[in-house]
Amino acid sequence: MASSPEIASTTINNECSKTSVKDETLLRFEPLSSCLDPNFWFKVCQLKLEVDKLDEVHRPIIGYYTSNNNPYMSFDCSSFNQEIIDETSFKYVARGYCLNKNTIDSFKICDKNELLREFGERLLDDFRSGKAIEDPSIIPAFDVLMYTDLKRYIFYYWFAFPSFSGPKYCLNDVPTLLENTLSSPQFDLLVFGFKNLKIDQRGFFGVISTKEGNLKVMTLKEYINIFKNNTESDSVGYLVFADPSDLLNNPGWPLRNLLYLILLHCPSIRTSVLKVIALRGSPSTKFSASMLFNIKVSSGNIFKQDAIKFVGWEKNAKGVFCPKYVDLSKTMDSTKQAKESVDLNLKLMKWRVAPDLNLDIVAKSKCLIIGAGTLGCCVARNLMAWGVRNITFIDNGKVSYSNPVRQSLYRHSHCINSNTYKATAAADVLREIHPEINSTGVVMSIPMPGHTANIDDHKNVDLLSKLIEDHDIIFLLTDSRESRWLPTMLSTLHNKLAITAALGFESYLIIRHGVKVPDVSTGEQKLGCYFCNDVTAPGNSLVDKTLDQQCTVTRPGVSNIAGALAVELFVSYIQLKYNVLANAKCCLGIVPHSIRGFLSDFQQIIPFTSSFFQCIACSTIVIDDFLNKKEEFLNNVFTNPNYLEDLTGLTSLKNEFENIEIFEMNDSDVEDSGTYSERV
Amino acid sequence: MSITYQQFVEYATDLKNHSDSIDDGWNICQYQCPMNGSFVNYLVKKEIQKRNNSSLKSDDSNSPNIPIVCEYHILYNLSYSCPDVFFNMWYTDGKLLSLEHVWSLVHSFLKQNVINDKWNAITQEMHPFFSTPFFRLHPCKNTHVLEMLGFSSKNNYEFNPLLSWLSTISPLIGLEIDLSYGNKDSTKFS
Repeated sequence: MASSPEIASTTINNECSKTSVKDETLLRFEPLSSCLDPNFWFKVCQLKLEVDKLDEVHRPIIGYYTSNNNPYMSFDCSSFNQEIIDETSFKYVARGYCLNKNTIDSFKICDKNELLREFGERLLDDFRSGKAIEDPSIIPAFDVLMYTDLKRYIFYYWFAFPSFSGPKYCLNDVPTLLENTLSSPQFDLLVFGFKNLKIDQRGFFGVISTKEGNLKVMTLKEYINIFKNNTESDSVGYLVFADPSDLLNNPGWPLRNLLYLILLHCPSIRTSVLKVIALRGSPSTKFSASMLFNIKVSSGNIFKQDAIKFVGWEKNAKGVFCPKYVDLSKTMDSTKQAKESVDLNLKLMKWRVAPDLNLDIVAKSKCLIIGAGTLGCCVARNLMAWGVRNITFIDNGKVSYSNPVRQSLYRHSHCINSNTYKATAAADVLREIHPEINSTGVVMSIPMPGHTANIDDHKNVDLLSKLIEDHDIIFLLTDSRESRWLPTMLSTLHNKLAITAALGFESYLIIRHGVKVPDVSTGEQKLGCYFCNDVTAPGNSLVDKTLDQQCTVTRPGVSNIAGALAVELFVSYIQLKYNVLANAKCCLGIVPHSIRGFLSDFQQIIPFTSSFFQCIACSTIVIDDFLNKKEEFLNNVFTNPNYLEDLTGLTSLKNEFENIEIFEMNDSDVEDSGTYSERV
Repeated sequence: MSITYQQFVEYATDLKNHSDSIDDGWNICQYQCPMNGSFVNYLVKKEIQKRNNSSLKSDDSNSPNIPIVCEYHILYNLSYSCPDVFFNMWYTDGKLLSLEHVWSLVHSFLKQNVINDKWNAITQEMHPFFSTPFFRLHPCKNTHVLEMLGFSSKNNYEFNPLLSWLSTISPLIGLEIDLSYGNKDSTKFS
């Protein structure tokens, strides 16, 4: 290696001004600095948000350093793993702890001297117990105190590389290049021995020379055992450590702790000279830049074990002992940041209020919103706030001038020239609000029973069927009763959860339709759908109606209440995996079957009903008829207003009613009538 | 001149071997393609540039001596049949340098050219393996650079084309190439 002496000599010239060898006695150690990878912070955020939450734990982490002129200890996202993945690279391992404080105040207020003493005491315990001899990777100890502002991506942190303030050490003579002492074959043996060491033993080990003049590499533990049994005053062989220092005559910080550990366990050498090899370079260049230091404890500095003081806080960029601060918000993509921030607000719910909340299942749900009107807009906004990513709208209308004030997704500009379809406008606006949303608008009209115009509309039936099959949850938010019939039937067919919201002038109803009971033997009954309580099939409700009867005339707040309740009902429901009974308990509270509210007296009740075996939308008879003779069934439904009633037997039921004498019922009879209602 | 993947690996190995002999820090890493499970080799170097004395130094000498961590990846680009360099730079607190900052760090003798044609030189994009933002020197001129350096598919040549290319573009990306790469015992390449 012809070039290395040259490198060394130039380094001497460069470093002369920096080294402190001129006072000839005192040995000073070059401190380590922290070096963080951007993905380190990513992992910190993730752990704080999803694992630690409100805990302030001392989380073990791993740092890496090299012996290539780099007085840095590096950390990245893999620092939080406890296994060392990269066994092949020649990095050295250091083990320490990370303490993430909950508030900026507790970060600022906590007593830094006390904290450093705490770090140091723990290190001292590991030194005394011999744990550090077994696992030398805890010798170059470090601790990081931090506060992470997860909302703004600002991080406050302060690294400490705790060490012992005494004793002081001095150099016995001027440090020399190891090349002057060891022969080339001895270097080969050193490298060979080094490579056979396990990765966490490579930072600190020992070397002794055999009688034949060969070098033998051994672990720190083996070396210290030899030391202990050695009665001679001179030290045996060499103590070796991987040196991150970039100053020629100053060893790096890890040596400081190593010397203390040796003196602690081998009292006999407190007065003798220690020969220490500072490994510099890498095995591929046979550590040719390594230095030899002859070190002894400075006289007058007797090794004292009482009243130990600790040092080691890192200086900031200006050279002041002070925490560091980094603002990463500007380096982030704005859409990603929006996504993270939305998730943050939701994940914070899990810290205290609802630790068992399953947000993933909410985010993954594909929601189909049928009717992009007042309710549809409100439901979409609330779904988005819950972190739902996939939303599809179905609507056939265009945005009109009366819409924007009530329908929160539309603007005046959508109404001009009456050109914009609600479904597409709503999908576009959702993406404007949150770019990470996957939203689609489908312009189509829902085929309705009794509307003869639908007679050839089997294509739309198939399209609707496909859309319902492709989604996990169907919100039925249209403004007429008959338009809910086909989606209700198809949701039952595909066994998807459907939630209906319906409005009166000052009342509202939210109902989740029953889904198939997986195990009939339990005696559980399927819950009812929107149509189960009715004994009339939907017909064309728009015939012969005045304008105020056709449009939904409601108090404006009703739709917001109902839309929001529909979404909250869905979120509660989806927390439970299996068939959800009426008023079943989830981590957010109960999951009612239906919610009825009245603004006239501001009351709300949560009744539940079982499914009706003669229901015109969800009964087996109807579904089977649809499956068996689809074309004929649909034609009948669309043209013959009585077809569904005849099919399900409702007509004959009604005829029976007329033959029964009517008894007056008193209040107590009503309570027994099968519908249980509860005042909230 | 375009090169094949096999040639790329051969040149990369040669570069890495010399790097080992002078502790220059180049390593060959493997990436397993999730599509078909095959392995792809690429060169990696990560270093902390402590002082402002490298080619990173621009005209303004006022900037303080803040260490910058630099990571270089040299991949093989299948579409252009040439080497493709991705790099990233950040401060030791983990904050990435902005694209504007990276443009400003280009060596002064090339700076004007880069400023005139910024978006064709260095841009920020997703790393093809890790899906994290990296800076990239656009590869479309790389085969052209190799030809201008006198390499062609027909001739045998004494020098490692990868090395010649890298030392040509290195002032753009703040990379220092040790002079000893130039006078090392050269293997014959074909």
